[in-house]
Amino acid sequence: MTSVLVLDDDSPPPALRRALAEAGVRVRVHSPADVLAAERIPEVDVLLASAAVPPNIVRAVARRMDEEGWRPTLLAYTEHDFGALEGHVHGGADYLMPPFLTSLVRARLGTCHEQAELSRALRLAGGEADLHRYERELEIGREIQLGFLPDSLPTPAGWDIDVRYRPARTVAGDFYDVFELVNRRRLGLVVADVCDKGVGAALFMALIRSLLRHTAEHGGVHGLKSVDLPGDARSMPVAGAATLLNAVEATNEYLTRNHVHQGYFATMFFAVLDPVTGGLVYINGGHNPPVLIRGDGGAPLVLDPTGPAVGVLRDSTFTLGHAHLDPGDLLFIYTDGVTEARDPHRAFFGEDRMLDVLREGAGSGDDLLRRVDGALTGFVGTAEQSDDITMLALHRTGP
Amino acid sequence: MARVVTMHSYRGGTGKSSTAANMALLFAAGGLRVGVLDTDIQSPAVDAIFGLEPDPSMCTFADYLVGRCEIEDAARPVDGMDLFVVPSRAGLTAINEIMTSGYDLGLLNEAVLRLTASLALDVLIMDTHTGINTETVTAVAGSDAMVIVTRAHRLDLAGAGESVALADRLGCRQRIVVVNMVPEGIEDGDLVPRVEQAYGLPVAAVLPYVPAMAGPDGAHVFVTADPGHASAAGYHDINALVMSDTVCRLPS
Repeated sequence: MTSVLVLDDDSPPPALRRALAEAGVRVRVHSPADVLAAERIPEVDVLLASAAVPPNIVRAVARRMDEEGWRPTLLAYTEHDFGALEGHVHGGADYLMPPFLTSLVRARLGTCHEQAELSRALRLAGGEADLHRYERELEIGREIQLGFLPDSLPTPAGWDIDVRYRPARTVAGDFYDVFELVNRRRLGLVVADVCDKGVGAALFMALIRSLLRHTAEHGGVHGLKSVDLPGDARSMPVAGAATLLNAVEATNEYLTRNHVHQGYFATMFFAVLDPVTGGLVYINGGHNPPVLIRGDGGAPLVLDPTGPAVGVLRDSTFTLGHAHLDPGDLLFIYTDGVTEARDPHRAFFGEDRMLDVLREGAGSGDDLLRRVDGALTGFVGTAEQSDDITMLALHRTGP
Repeated sequence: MARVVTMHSYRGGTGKSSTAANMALLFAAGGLRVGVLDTDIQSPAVDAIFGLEPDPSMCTFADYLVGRCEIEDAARPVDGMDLFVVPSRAGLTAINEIMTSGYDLGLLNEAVLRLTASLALDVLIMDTHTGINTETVTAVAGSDAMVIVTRAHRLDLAGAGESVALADRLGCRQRIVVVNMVPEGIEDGDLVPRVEQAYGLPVAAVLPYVPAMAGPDGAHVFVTADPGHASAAGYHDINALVMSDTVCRLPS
């Protein structure tokens, strides 16, 4: 049924009221002041305004209705002052004049109703087109972001590397990277989590990943300050250590110098592996401690932070951690999307549950990730994934 | 565990590389397995001293640093002895790359570990570029002993404080001072106290200037061929201190 709102400070003419009643439409009569003051306006297809109401007031009322999503067709009427219609017609309104015969009024209102519906449909289609465009842009963003992750993982003989990467949204703030360093004698491994989620985090992911990797790969001659010679007088620089420190310090310096006001930072675990010896030198910048699972069943070792998150404070101090992987050992590196996954009752998966799965033994890296993934999926159930999830397993398979 | 020794001089031309070569020969003659690693990429000398023909196709220390080969492939045996020499470079290719792109300092330490392990060395002597530079600092930090080769000239002695401070800072406890190329006519009694005052260390050996070594055909490696040479006793003394657990210091 067509809904008609008659806009008139007085009562509409009796002939018009009678025709409206007989036309089978839903009619309400209000003054402009009433409509503008109303908190909510029910559906309106036709705004039937007395020509005595100034056109700008009619337009204000129409805008108010637009805001509610009704987009009524404007129809001005008069009984005597035909000249008053002109201002309304110039403003885009249709018009209605005596005689107010029921059939004519019904026909005109029907046309106006169709026009209102068409107008609403067009707007809806326009909104969907916008939405479609945004989704397409986001999809492009996702594809570009995937390009910031390694195509393939360089895997030296005697080692396996497996990864699971599941963004909570189309784009993510998590990332991982694996690349060769020191003339292919070392392997750089990064798992990082940019604070926040979505597009902002994804933009900073692209920046931080590029800064880290570019600095690591093109460090040049490294300053002696960065290799931390004495205190312990005979502590010698190990290959990759200066690269690691330079990359993390330079990234921290860049972020805090140029982007501190945007409030984005990243926790990260960046390790340099010697595939020949199993030696690992790392920086844990405020990141969830990776777990080193011993192949011989010994107690797992957690690799605690050696510095703060990257991008928070200028002149932060990052120190080097050292670990060693024997044949059979497996290093599990993850982001907080694992431990902070929530079940439908909003409870966290937590470190204890994760460690329970890890303590069941390593097996292959892929097995381990599958088991953690399975435990996570079972725990989360029907709840929505709340954060990006990244897991990397570095497994020493051979001597 | 191999004894690792770094040669050092504050100024150039003190005979550092010749001293290293003669020390190495003596060690090898004494039945030890010895390596000489020339880290002086800027101005190599050890390979020429041992008469190794330059061969650009061979692997060198610089090639190892830029990833062109492994350090074990760079060790060249010296005929008839358990003595291995690692030349610093052959040609300019690798040094160009090092100057433009740099290298990872940890590779120097790794080279020491790998050479001593793969060649089962008893002693590894590292020759270095003159003065204080990246390679020298890293080498000294990883060494058991530092042999400081100086001349008697006051300009050489002026750097004594820096050389000792370097060893102090890097925790190399055994510093051995050798006064080399001492001109004829200078008495040890005049020279030694001045050197010892400058370094705050006892002088381990005073080696005379040998004109034959300075000429175009100068033979730098002679200690085994001419065991009675005036310098031979000095090299013996240096080697004994290198292997000694008693740290050199002036009597109080």
